[in-house]
Amino acid sequence: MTGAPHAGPAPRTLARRLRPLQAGVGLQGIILWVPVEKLFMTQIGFNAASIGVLAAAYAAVVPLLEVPSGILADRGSRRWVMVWSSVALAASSLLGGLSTNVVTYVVAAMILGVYFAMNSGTVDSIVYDLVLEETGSSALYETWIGRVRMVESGAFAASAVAGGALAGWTSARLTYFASVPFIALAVVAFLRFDEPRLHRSAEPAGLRSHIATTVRAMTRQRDVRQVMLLAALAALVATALFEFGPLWLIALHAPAAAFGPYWAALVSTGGVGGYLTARLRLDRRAALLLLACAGPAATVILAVSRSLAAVVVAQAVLALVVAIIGIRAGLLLHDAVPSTIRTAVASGAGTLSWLLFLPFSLVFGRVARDHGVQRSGWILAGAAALTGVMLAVTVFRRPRRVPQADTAAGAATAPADLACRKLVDLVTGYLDRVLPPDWRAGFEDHLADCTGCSEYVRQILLTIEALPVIDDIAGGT
Amino acid sequence: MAGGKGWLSRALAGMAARGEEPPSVDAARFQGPEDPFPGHWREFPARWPRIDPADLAVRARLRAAVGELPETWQAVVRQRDVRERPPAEVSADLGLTAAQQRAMLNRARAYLREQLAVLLNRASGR
Repeated sequence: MTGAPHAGPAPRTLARRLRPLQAGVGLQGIILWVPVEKLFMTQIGFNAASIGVLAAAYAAVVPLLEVPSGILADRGSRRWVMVWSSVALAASSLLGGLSTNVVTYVVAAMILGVYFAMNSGTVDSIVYDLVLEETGSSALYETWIGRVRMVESGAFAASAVAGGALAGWTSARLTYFASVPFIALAVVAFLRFDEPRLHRSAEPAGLRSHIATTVRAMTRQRDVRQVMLLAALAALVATALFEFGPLWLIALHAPAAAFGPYWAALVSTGGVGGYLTARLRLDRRAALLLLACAGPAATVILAVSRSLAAVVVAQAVLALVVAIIGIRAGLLLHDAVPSTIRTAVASGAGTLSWLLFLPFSLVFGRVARDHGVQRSGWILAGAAALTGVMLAVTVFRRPRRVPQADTAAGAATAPADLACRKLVDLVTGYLDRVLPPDWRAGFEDHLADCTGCSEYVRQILLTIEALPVIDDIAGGT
Repeated sequence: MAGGKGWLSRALAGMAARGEEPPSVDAARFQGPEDPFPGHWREFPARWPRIDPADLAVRARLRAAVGELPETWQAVVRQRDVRERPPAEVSADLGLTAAQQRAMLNRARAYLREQLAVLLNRASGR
C-alpha cells in the first residue's frame, strides 16, 4: 500500500538461512545440569547463604559484562560471539562438573556469566537483521524470533526432564559432562550459519541524548515509572524463584528425578504465560486483581506447607503469574513510551531488577541458612505482595498511550506533514508509481518545499541512471 | 543462576523487539525526538557535481558497492536497475512479494547513493 511494506509470506531464503541458527540455539539450550544445579551445589558444600552470595555476585557482574559483549556483537561477527558464548558454556559446564568445592564452582559460575553476557540479545539482533536483509522490513521479525524462541523453550523443557532423569539414574555430576557434546554440536551449527551483513544501524541520535531521553521518561512520567517498577518487581520474583526455588525441594528431600519435571514446569511457564496473555482478556479488572492476589497466595503456601506436591504446584503457579505480569508490564511500557527509547527503557527496567535482586538474594540466603528456606519464603511473599500492589496500581491508573507512528494503522492514511525520515522510505514506491494518491500528493508537496529531500531524490535518480553501465568493459563508452 | 537470567532477558526482549523500523537512510542523519524538527534532516545532503555515468571511478565504486550489499539485495538491484527488468517479473523470479522487493530496492539504492556521495564529495574536496 505504501513504502512501508506489509508482512507478506517469508521469502524462501529467510527460512533456509535461519535453519542453522535455530539448530544452534536449540542445541545450546540442552543444558542438562540446570534442573539439578542446586542439588549438586549442596552436595559439594554450598549452603543457602553461599548460594545467595553467588547469586548476588552474579547480579553485579553480568550486567557489567553485557556492555563490552554488546559492543563486540555490534562491531564484529555475531556468529563468532555465539561460538565464543558456546565455548564459555562448555568450559563452565566442564569446570562445574569437575568441582568438588565452593571455590572452583564459583569460578565456573563466573565463566557462565560470560556465556550469558555474550548470549543476551545477540540472537534477537541477528534475527532482526536477517529478517530486514531478506524482506527489506522488520515486519516479520516477531514471527521469526517467536519460532526461534519456541525451539529454545522446547530444548529447555526437554533437557530439564532428561537432566533430572540422568541425575536420578547416575549422579548430578554426570549431567555437567553430558551437556558438553550438545554444546560442541551447537558450535558446528553456528559456524554453518550465514550471518547477515547488515548491522542494525538504527541507534538514533547519540548515546548521551538517548540516555537523557530515557531518564526523563522514567523520572518525569509517573505512569512510566510505575510500569518500570512493576516490570522490575516481576523480574525480581521470577529470578528469586528460579534461583532459590530448588532449595525447597532439597529441604523436603525430593529425589533427583523429581527435579526434571519440576524444572520443566517452571521453564515452560514463560511460553504458557504468553499463550494465556494472548487468549485471556487481561484488560478486565477482575482478572488482573485475581492475578495480583494469586502470586502472594502461592508464596504463603511456600512459607507454610511441608508437602512436596503443594510446593511444586505453588512454585509453578507463582512462575506463571509473574510471567503473565511481566508480559503485561512489557505491553504497558510499549504503549507508554515512544519506540525510539523503548529499548533503552526496557534495559533500564532490567538494570533496576538486578539492583533489587542484589540485596534480596543476600538477605534471602542468610535467612534460609539460619532459619530454613520456609522462613525465608516470607521474604518472597513480601516481594510478591509488592508486585501485586503495583499491578493493582497500574490497573486503576492506566498509562496513557503515546501515538505509535510506526504501526501499520499509522501508515494507512497519509500524514498531513511527511517527515524527511519517512520520505526516504517512500522514494522507490513513488518512482514505481504504487503510492496511493494521498501519499503521492504528500510526497510531491514535501519535495516542493524541502531542499534536502529534492536533492536526495535527484541523487537517487542519478544513481539509478549510472547503474545500467556499471558492468561495461572498462574504458568503453 | 541459569534460569532467572534467561527469564528476564526474554520477558524484556519481547518489548524491546517492537522497536522502530530503521529508515532506509542512517537514522542519525535525521533529527531526534528532542530536536526542534524531529524526523527532518540534520544537514541536507551535500549537492553533487554533475556526474558522468561512464566515468570509470563512478562505475568502479558503484560496482564495488553493489557487491557489498546483502545477496538478495544484490539480486534485486541487478535485475531492477542494472538489467532494468519490470518489478513484477523480478518479484516473481526471486520469490518475493512486491512490497518486499520494493523495500529491499529502496534500501539498496539508499546505500548506493551514500557510497557515491562519499566518492563525489571527496573528489570535490568536501
